[in-house]
Amino acid sequence: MLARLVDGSEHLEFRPGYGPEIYTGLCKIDGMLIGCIGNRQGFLGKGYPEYADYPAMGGKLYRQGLIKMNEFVTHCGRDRIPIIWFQDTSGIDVGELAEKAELLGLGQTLIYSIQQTDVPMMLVVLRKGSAAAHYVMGGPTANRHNAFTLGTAATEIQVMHGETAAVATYARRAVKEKDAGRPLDGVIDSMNALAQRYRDTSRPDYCARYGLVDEVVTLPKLRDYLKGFAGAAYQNPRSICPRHHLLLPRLIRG
Amino acid sequence: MRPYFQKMDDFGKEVKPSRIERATPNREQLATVEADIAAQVAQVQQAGFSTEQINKRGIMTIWQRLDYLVDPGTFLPLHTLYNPLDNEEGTTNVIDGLGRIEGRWAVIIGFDNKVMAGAWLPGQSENILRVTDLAKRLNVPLVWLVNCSGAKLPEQEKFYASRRGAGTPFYRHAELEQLGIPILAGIYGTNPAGGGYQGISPTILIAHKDANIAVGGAGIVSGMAPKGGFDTAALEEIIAKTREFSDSPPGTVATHFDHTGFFSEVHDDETGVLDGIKDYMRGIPAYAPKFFRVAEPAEPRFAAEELYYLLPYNQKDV
Repeated sequence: MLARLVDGSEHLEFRPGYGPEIYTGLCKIDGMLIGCIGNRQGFLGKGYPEYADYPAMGGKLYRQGLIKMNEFVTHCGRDRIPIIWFQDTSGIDVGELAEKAELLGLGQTLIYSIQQTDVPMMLVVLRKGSAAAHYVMGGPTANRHNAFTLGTAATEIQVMHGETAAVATYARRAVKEKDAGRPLDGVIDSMNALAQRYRDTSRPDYCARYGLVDEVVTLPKLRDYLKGFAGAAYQNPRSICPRHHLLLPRLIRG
Repeated sequence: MRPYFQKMDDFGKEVKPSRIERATPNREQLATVEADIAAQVAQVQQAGFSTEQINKRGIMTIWQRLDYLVDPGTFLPLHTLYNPLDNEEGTTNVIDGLGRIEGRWAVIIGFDNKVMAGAWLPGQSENILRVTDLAKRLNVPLVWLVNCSGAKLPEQEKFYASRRGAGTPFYRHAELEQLGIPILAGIYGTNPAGGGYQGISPTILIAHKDANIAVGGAGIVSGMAPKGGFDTAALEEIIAKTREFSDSPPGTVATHFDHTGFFSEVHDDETGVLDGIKDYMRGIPAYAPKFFRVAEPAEPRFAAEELYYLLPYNQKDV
């Protein structure tokens, strides 16, 4: 998708072999340098995440991806490069192995990394914005950095999927009803109703109406907003880094 | 640094015909949602009086003002559907976005003068605070098209007070100015009380000849002293005062251009006000894009239309 949004479909990818669930790289928008960060989808290769025996899923965040984003954001801050985030995330990996892999701490570390920079950021919620991943990946929650957030026709923002929420809310009650020998129809109805409510309150028009995004735009219009962001961010930057003093391109090229 | 940036690594692949075929329903689902959003946007644009009704009074609508002010094709609307407190008007009654004026980016916001003459509505201050935050973050000028009849009085409890209520943007304006970010205001129509502060809080005030800004408008001035209720005699008195103030509302150009000098310029035509804003925009410092360009701008090698085959509509696809 990014190849359809940035100048010349060209980039310098940062640490391509590390944290495969996340893309980080330098791209040009209207000739200006922008740091781009986004979730990758699909199969992420055997043996990943390295701390667990289960396979990684596209759209989730794991240890390496979180570390990579921390590094990239920090370098963009140092190099005064504005950042555009592209979210399609179901959240950060969970479970005891994820805890041991420090994912809770690394999520907050990313928040710290963002907060200690002072570059403008913009967010496109391409599809899913869920759980803490929606916060840590340059979400509107980054009040001082996030200039604005866009949604698309596929945007769905919610703390978790509605069916997951229904299980979290009603699983224990279902057990009680079952043990008491009572019919389960009522619990099932409640679970379906909650899942539907999540659906209704996470759709693009809901997100626009209640300010979860600042605008929902058509896909061909996205690049116009990217250009507007880049043009405005570089119009009067409060702090600059000469291009020959940039560190990130050297780190990427080696 | 030309070797790094002039030609970076190519990436991306052609979308295969088989994927286009497989993803055609996906494209249609996305397009259906986009059409629904477009219909809701059109409703917001058509809120209140029609363009014809407004034009008949010899005034332009907010959309016509924006169209004249902003460089063609550069307006990027934001918060169009934002209506967090479910106003029956379907809008917070400000229209805003990023746009270029005379080649310079600005955050632009104006009251929708088709709806209750640009009244304060619930949720509006949250909308404005997003806009002032945006100007602050991007360090670009804020341009206001002020045309604000003041609070929608029957619903004032929802927005007048509180930390992020209707008065908060005036502090934000002061904050932007302290940061060196100018706020230009084109001022139209009657702007009493809250509208008056919308008018006075920017940096440069450019007024239309029929504009006024005031601490309190005719409606308030004629009913300032509560007497414990209303009767016929009281109402007759109110009627007489209202006639008087309607004829000469406080804070007109005669006061705020000739006497106080708050207005920097006054223009006979509505477009003259917008030309005045353009003139001030030309005087605002802005780096030329080439200052920070690392390469010549270029379009992507792949068509944006192909995004419809790549962005999965189904939330369960990974």
